[in-house]
Amino acid sequence: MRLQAKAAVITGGGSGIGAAAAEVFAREGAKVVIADLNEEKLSQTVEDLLSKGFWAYGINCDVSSEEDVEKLILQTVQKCGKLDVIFNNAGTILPKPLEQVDGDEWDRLFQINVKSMYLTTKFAISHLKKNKGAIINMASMTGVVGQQYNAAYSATKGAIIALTKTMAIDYAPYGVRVNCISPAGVRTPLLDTWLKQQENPVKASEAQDRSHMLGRTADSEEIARVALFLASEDASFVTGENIVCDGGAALGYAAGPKPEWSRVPI
Amino acid sequence: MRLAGKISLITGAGSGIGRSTALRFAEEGAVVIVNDVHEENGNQTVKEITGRDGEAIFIQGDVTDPADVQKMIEKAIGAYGRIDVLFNNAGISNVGALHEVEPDVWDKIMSVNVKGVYLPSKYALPYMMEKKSGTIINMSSCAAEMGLAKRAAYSTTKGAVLSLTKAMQVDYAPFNIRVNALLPGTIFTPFVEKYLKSSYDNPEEAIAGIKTRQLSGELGRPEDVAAAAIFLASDESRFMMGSPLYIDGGVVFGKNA
Repeated sequence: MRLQAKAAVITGGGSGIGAAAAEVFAREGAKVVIADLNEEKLSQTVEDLLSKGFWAYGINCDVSSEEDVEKLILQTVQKCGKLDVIFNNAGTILPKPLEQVDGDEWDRLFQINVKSMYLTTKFAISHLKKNKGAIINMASMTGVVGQQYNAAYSATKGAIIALTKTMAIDYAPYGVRVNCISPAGVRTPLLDTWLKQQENPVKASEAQDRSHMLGRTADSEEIARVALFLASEDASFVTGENIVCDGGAALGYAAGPKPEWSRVPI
Repeated sequence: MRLAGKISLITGAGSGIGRSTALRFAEEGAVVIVNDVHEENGNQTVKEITGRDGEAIFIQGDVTDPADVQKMIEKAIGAYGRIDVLFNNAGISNVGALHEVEPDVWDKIMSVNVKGVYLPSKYALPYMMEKKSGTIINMSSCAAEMGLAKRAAYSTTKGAVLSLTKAMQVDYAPFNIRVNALLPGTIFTPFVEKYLKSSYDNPEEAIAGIKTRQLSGELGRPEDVAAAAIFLASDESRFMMGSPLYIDGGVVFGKNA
């Protein structure tokens, strides 16, 4: 098993990619501490893992709160006796043109998506140093190429990619590896919410699929498996990297639906 | 003149790269709206421009304060009726690995360096969109591309600015607005000078270390960045959109090679 006896924290682990990662990590032998703001989803995911015979523990946590994150790390180390992996997965979106974004919305988004990663590091780095641990940050393809009507979100994701590189430099002397993952479209509750907000959700979903060279949207587990790789010894020489896992969405000239797919019937 | 008649708003123009750019913009015929949080510094920049027969006004304002920024844009529009060039230059730095950063320091640098790009853009864009014309230049850094030791918070802000630039370009291209980013290496500014003196026992040695990091073997000058800003502000760069422009003495290339 690839994460045998490792202790991992997954933020935003109650649903989507985080929940998929919790199961993938647990399946590989990890003790998984799941942090989520949504208590209902949190307990559902924890119960699901427990019922499958895995080790899991849920902690209700607002990742933008210094107090909550300090408690999260403290309780994790109390429960597991150590900490090896942090998957900074929690995040949210703010899809609108920049001039329509309110200052408060902007601040909130940066607190959830970026400050959260700073806070987990602030409180956990001393534990990770002891075990030559790994940190995985959730970035996005939008942090590399930008995205229409998603300027603030893209800004947070670009911040995360640069943050990842700097963290990798500063913590490399302690054997702590820091990497990030940049997915494009992934079937998650967050994506479903966004699709429902579009004028024609069915068409938007189809366009979403065809915006990837592979012609479809990723499953949460496909991204979770990249996180598993980065958390495991398989990635023992990988640090400071942004693993783009986007089904080819950023390839070619076209942003949005790939013209290549107009010639292929669905 | 390469910027003749261009109404150009430069944030943080009271010192360093901002001031240098303001002076060079004026020499190229731009009307310069000098913004800075420090009144004395901003006024000094204006004085230097008008002393050389350039046209400039000072608008004091904190780029992190929505009310200030809104007022600044309204004043600029009131004075000149439009903004052709917005150079989001204001920024601060911070030294430390991530766990060494205090939460209030984190909030402050994110606020100045990133929200300080968003707010002036937010309030200037509607005027640019209405005219279907305009250019925005955002100050990123090569730290956005490759990280920098003990500059975790700073690098984070500059990565945010780079991706924000690209996302903004996608949204405002239909309005004929160009958005590009500058990525300087280490430039010898008052900030860097102060930092070197306060952080190193032997500042000369520190400077020598930075010099070897850059293929140029020298630190950059504010004028080097100003020259790149003129290019992005002018119509010469009309086909550059969402681009990172490196002015780094070969830091990124040298690191990759």
